[in-house]
Amino acid sequence: MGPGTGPTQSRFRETETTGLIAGFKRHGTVVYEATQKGGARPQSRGRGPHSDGTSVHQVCLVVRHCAPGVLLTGRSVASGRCGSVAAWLRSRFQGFARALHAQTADAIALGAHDANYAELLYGNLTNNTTLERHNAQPNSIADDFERFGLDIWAEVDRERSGNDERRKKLWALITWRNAIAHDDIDAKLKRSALEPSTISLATCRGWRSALNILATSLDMVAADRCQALGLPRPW
Amino acid sequence: MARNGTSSAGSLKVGDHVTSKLPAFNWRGVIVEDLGPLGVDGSEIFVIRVGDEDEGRHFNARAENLERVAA
Repeated sequence: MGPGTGPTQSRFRETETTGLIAGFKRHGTVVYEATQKGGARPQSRGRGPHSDGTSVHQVCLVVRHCAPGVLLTGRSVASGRCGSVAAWLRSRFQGFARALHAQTADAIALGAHDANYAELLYGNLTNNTTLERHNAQPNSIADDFERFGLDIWAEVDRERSGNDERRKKLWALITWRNAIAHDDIDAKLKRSALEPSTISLATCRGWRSALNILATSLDMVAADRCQALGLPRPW
Repeated sequence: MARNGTSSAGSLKVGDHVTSKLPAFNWRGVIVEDLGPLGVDGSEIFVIRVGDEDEGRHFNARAENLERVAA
C-alpha cells in the first residue's frame, strides 16, 4: 500500500456486486466499505464459510491501494505484497467454490421426496470432496461438480466467452500460490513452470478480475443445473 | 419437500459429537467445521467427520437433522 493511499485515508466505495462478491453476500460474509474517516466498517454480517472478518472487498482494497508497477521476482515475492494477495485470492476463491458446491448439493437434495432420502443424497454428494483436500484448481472443481452430472468447465466456457482464458489464469494463480507456500519459486522458475515468470500487482488485479467473472459463471451454471434437474432455480 | 431450519442447531458447535436424528441413519460423528447458513433456505450446515481423523469420511449435514450425543 503506497503512502497516503490506505483505505483509512481515501474515499473508496466498492460497487462491484457480481461474482465472488455476490456469492459471498449470498453466503452472508462480512462486506466492508472504506470510508473517508473511519476505515473499513461492516455493512452486513453473517456467518458465511469464511466469516473471519475479511471479505473479497478487502482483497479489492488491498489490490487497489498497493503501489502500482511493483515487479517482484523469485524469493522476494514470498515476503512481498503480491504473494500475500495471491494467497488471499486463492483462499477466497476456494471458500467460494466450496460454498457453491455445498449449496448446489443442498438444493439438489431438497428435491428429494423424503427426509431420509434427502439426507442420504446430501451426505453422498458432499462425501470427501476434492475441494476439502485440495486447492480450488480447475480439476478439483470439475471433480466435485461432476457429482451433479455436470461437465462444469464445458458449461462455464459456453456461458461466457473468454472463460477458457480465465481458467488458465486460475491455474496460474494456484501455481504461483503453491510456489509461494512451498518456498519453491526459484526451482519452478528454473523449470519454466511458472507462467507468468514474474508477478506484479497488475497481475493480481487481472487474477481478481478473472476470478470474479469465473465465479459469476460458476454460480449461473450451478443454478442452471438445478433447474435442468427439474428443481426450482435456487438463486 | 420443505425442510425448515428449526432445531437445536444454535447450540451445536465444532467439536460436538453428533448423530443423525433421522431414523434411517445410525452413524456417530464429530462436527469439524461450521459452514454457516449455507442451506438454500438459510439452514446451518456442518461438516461431519465419521471415523478416524485421517481416514474417516467427511460430509455435510443440515443442523436440524443433527443431535448432540455424549463423547
